[in-house]
Amino acid sequence: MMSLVKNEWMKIFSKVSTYIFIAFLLLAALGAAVIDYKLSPDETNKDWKQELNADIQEQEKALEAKEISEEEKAAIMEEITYNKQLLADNINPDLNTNWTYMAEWTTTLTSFVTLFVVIVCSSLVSSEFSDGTIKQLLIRPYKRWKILLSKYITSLLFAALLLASLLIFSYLIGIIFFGNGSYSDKIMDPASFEFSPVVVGEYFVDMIVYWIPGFLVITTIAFMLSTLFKNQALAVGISIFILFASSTLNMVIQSFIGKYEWLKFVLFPHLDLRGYISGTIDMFDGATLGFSMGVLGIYYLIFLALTFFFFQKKDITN
Amino acid sequence: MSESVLKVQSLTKKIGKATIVDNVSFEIKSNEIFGLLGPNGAGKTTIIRMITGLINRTGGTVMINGSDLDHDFEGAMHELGAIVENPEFYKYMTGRKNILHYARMSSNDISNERIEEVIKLVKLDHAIDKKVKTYSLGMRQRLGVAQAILHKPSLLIFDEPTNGLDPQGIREFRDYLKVLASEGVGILISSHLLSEMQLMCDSFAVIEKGKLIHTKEHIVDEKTETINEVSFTVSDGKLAKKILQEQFADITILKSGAKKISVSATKEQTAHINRSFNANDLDVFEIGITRKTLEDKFFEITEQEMRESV
Repeated sequence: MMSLVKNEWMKIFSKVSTYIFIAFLLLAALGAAVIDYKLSPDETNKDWKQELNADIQEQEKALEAKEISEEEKAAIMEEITYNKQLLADNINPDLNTNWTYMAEWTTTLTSFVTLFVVIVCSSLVSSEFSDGTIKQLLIRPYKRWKILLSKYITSLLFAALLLASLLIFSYLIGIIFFGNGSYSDKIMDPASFEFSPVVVGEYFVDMIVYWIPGFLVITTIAFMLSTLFKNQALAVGISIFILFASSTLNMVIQSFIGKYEWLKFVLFPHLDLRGYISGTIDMFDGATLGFSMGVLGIYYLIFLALTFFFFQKKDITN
Repeated sequence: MSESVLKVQSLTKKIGKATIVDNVSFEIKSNEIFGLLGPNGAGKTTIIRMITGLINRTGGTVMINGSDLDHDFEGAMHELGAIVENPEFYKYMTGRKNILHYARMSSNDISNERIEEVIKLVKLDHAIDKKVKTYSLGMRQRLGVAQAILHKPSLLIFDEPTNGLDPQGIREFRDYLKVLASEGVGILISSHLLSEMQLMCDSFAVIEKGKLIHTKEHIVDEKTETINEVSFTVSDGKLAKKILQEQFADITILKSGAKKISVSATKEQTAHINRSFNANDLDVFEIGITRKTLEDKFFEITEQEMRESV
């Protein structure tokens, strides 16, 4: 089995596109750091508490002005409460460390990891059909399921490699641009609409960990499509389409989920578990992390079973 | 008696109601080059794909060097080397990486020396570190032979091996086959190019509409070989005809003229005829032999089959 995985790995890394994907992740992490650096306030060594107090004073003055409307008043009031909350919770809003950078940017850049893994995995088997090499591959002293399993293991390893690359690139670039900050600095939860302070490092780790199950299922879907379609372009195309359509489909499903109970068991609302981290993004009534994990797990097993079943049965005729 | 490296019994493939391959059985021994002949679409490729396990069988068994495909797939595949249709490779990798890829998939360890040896044998040492996309079809065919023989299998299968090869490539390929067969390998070749097969194969089977309609005719067997046509150029055609009718009643006269007469005879018969011509003071100036080609044989067999089925 090791030698089969080695072969698959060799094939992936004999393609130029693989290196382009990894280079792209590096450039994306770098680009995000540059943008973050430009956006951040210049005078970082100023006392942020003093600044916040000055802000609050200014905003209170603005409230006293006569020519403002009710809406403007409300907005300013909100800002004042927010700023006071920051002071009360001892949260520096201008904090810019490698951890805040990662919490803000790396968690978004994972979309690229998904995209590239889907591209590679959906062509892992279909390209063998497209190139005709499947005939030479399957007349070896290995049962079909072993060859397929080696490809699946390879796709998981590749997914892990791309994720690890992104994390390592981000961490190093973060240190270079913003210095090595503290893991336990507090920030306001960026995904939450309420004032909930979170520890930046924990928040980042959660964002990655809760993202992984959906990522695993998407990788498996791409791999399944790769074995079902003999045409590489078709397999890659459909996988990417599903990837992009899933958030739209999710919204449609969310809006109908009250009417139709069974929509709860559709895959799409469960693909992104990150809503469960702060608990503030409503999935739907009665949705729990356990339920979503269960649904994902069942789909995962079904996809894998279909993949192996069809590949085992398939007549290789091209 | 050499051992059987491939034994195919009652091989059948049905798709829906159509029977693509119908109850085909044959056997290949080591040292033998066996040709599977038939027009395009006769079922040759389907048979080969069933033997190599690429498509499922509706019925029948396949034994490769004693290993049953159903019960010991890995054992059977270990004894097999093949190129199924065009020699396809990972074009974005070098020839060497492609060979390494298949070497890793072998169930016995393949040493670097063996890899070098095979690369030299197929004369690819100058191009082995170039990417396969730069290879000509002939070079890919040779790389195909290399990956097939790498693990020293006892059965080799080549499906339409000369498709798209130039005459030199075909000749080289033929030479490889002869060498490999002499080393004890059994070889199965499918083709619709009869003249090619005649030069390559020791024996053959004819497939038509999924049925095996003729098998195991040895293409060149000196003693029993029927020489299609022997034409004698003689001093007196009439006398020759008379001698033949009197002394060789069992020999068919095909044509007779003033100076020429042609008959259907074996080599031995030809010698006898020549001797009696000389004994009767008939001068023989020339003996011309037209061998029956595989093509003639093929059409003879298929036509006979058609007449019988009508």
